[in-house]
Amino acid sequence: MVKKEGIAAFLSPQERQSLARLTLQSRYVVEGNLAGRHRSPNRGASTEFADHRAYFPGDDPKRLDWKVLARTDRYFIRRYQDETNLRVYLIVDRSGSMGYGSGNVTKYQYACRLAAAIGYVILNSRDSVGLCVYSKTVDASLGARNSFSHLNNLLKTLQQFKPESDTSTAPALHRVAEDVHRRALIVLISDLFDDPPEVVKALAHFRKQHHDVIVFHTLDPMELDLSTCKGAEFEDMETGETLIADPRALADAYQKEINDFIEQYRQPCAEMNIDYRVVNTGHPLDTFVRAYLEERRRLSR
Amino acid sequence: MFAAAAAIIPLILHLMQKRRTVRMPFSTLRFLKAAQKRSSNRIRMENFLLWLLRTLLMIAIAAAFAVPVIRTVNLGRLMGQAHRDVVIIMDVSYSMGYETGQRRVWESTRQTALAILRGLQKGDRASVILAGDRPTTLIEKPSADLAMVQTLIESLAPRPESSHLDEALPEALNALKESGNREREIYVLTDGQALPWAGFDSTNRADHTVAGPWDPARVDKDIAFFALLAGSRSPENCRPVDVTLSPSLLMTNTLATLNARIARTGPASDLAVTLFIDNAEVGRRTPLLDANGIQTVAFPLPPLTPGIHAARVTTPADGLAVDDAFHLLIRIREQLPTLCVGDEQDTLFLMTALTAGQQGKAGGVATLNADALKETSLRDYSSIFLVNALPLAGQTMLDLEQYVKNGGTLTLFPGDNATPAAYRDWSILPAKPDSVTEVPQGGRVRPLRLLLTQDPLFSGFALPPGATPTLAIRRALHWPNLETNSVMVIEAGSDLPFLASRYFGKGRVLLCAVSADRRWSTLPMTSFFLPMLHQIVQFGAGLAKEPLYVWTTPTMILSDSLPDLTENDQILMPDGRLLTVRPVRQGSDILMEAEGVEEPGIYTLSRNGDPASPVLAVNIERKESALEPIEGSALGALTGLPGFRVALDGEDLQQQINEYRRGRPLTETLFWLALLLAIAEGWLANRICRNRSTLVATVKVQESGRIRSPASP
Repeated sequence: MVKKEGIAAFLSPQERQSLARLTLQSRYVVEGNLAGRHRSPNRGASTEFADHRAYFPGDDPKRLDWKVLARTDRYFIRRYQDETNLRVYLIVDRSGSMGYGSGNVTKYQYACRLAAAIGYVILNSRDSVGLCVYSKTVDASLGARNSFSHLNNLLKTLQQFKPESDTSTAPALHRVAEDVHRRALIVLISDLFDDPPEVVKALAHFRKQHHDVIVFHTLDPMELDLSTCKGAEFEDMETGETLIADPRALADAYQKEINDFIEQYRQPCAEMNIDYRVVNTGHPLDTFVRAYLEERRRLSR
Repeated sequence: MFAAAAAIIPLILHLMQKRRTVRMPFSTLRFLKAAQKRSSNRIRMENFLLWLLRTLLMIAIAAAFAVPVIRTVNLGRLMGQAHRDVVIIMDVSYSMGYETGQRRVWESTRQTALAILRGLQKGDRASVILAGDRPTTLIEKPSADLAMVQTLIESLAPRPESSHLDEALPEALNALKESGNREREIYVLTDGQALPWAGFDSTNRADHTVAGPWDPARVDKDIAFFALLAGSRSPENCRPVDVTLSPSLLMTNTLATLNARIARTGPASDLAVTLFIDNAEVGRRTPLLDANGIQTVAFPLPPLTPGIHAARVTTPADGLAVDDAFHLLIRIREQLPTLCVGDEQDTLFLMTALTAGQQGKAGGVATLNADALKETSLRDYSSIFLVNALPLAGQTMLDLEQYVKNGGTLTLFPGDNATPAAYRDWSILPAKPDSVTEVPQGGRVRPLRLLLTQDPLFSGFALPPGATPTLAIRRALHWPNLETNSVMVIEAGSDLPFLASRYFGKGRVLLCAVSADRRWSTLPMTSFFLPMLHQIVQFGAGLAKEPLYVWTTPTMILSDSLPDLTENDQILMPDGRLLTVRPVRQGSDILMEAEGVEEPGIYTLSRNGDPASPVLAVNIERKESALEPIEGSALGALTGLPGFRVALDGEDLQQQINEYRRGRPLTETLFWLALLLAIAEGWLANRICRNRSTLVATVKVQESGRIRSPASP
């Protein structure tokens, strides 16, 4: 049996078909290098009127507003909103904790499929997509391009990595923030099992650089509820530390802890206008992606 | 109790569980550690409680299978190893014969008594006391011959008596006085009616208590008391309790009515009450009887021939059959034999009055001189009038005294023949006259006043409304005071005695203050004279010597009702058996006494091969028929013995005996405890492992991953 690679390894034809009509809109102006459907900070040629400005010699006479000239005998140039394409950077966590999965799918596998779906939707919108994979450090970084072959390469890169080692999210995010100069859409897919204040600072770094940021906080159902497993000796997948516990007795307290943990991200993200989403790997991927994109499109109007 | 070691099973399981822990990779332990830190105290407490419950559960189950017992009393004794003396008090009242369907009170009581005996060990001793009208101790001291006691109990049967347990219980205590260190038990086997226990209440105590007042303080605390209340808790019974004839004296062609009082125990009902005379049904009534009520049913009597007729009033058969029939003898008289003693001149007015309406015939009235009295059989006459007949010979006076003692009615009219001294030596007179008073001219007219209108002498006596009999008295006997058992029946005016009466033996003596002719007063000329004489005659004929019925009794003097009974006569009981009759000496008299008149029904006399004639109607006294169950819980307070163990059937009693002797088995209690512990353990364990709401639901994570918290839009 031939091993599937690239997008075929993560998305079935049916899933790709269902995702084909969806788009991922940026909520802010972005800086692309191609014409596209996203607003650009520049004035350029588009159908969307922006404002008038006084004519200066050298301006293209075809941009004169003749109607204004006729009425006022003064020369004004009509300016239009420039539209450009969107550059999206997918930042995927491959730390050891992402290798956990109480069901058939690990969080890392789910994160890869989510990245594939987002990338597919982006490419369908003729936008560009790039990738950054990190664990303790940035393990791989690929620039943004708008071709399906590039998407395939990105996904092959994801496929090559296995979840392992410790997490060091904040330095990796800071590095990505330094590398991406132009306004883009940053999509972070991680379980964020790190120091929340540091991670929040890194996210603030993105926002300072006017990037639109989406955080997919990827968590396994067991991590969310801790209600279906029996007592056991638990082993930390990153540190190897062990702990004997009865989850049934701890479930209430555990849920409080995990809720506090989520709140440590949700609250700052809301303040920084970062789109923070909790992704339950127990839910079907296409359902989640479609629901998310539909809601984002609705809110972007 | 080795199984109690199972109590460590939970601990072992706990320890084994720790060794067999499965290693499970998890994304991060930071939250688990924090959660464990947050709830460690609670978890420790819950685990401790679970361990405690499971350990107790195992102990309870192990202990239940070990069938432990708790000795309810006398913990210091060796678990019932001491020999015991038991006294069985058996209620033998006739209400023990109550039967409804499968419930046979006497049989179940007897079987219970036998079961108590079977439960005794070798060396144990038993005694039996019968609780009847008087307690009967069958075995004075507890006997080790249990087979004999068993045979004795098997031969017992209810008696036509009431029972008084307040007298039987002291007898039982007496029987156990010399039991030493033996364990002592008293069993009261009764049908559970309130009446036998009523004597324990000081307000109801019978006067004839022989054992003295019941004092629970004198009861040894070591004696165990058991009571079996075997009777029905809602008994039903209907019975005739009394009959009367109106008028009480029946002559040929007398229109009479028989009144039967019917009592009912149980709910209201209409029941057929039937009157049989000479075994033929002569009347039937269906009165509506109130619940626990009593009602009088009247039967007009048909014309009956002179003689004695056996009759009975019956109610339908019920649980207590022995009281469904009430027997009586109806005596129809052709004439009332009366004797007038005195000269023809003295008795002229008397004879005229007594034979009034008989067209000059003497009827049953005879007259003779005082001299001929000693040769006359006085018992042939129901009333004797002495008219100016004193003084009499000594033997004649003794005969008359015996006549009165046996139930005769003697009436004395004074006259000029006797001085007051002639009266003084006669001890049966109601008064001893001291003089003959000449009444002054102005005070001779006297109204007669009936002082005792309710006296049986005047039963049925009626004067015209407003009529006051008045007579003129010239001379009268005077007596200063009355003798013992004497009353003044009629006074003339406010200061002159006229007629005094004295009950003597079973008879009555009447002494009139004036003569029966016109010499002392105008009495014979008054309208009061004739009815007064007829009242005396009728009273004399029906006075108590021939009752309608008698109650059952162990012994009965028959000479009262059958004065001519001899040793050669045979009295047959209702079931055909011969009644034991023997002569007994009572003072200077030889009387015939019957033994065991305890079979209700008609007793007949067979004499010299003549056809048997009814002589006695015997009934059971209906005290026990008012079946009123007593609550077992009331016995403790009633008897002053709080430890009275009460059972409603033999099985229950046997269980209580076992509990007392061997202790109360705790198996059932322990299993209940184990069940409660299991429920508590299940509840607590389930509470720990219960399905909690998930975090996704709690924080409201939408399908798109958005968290809809209160702060979010």
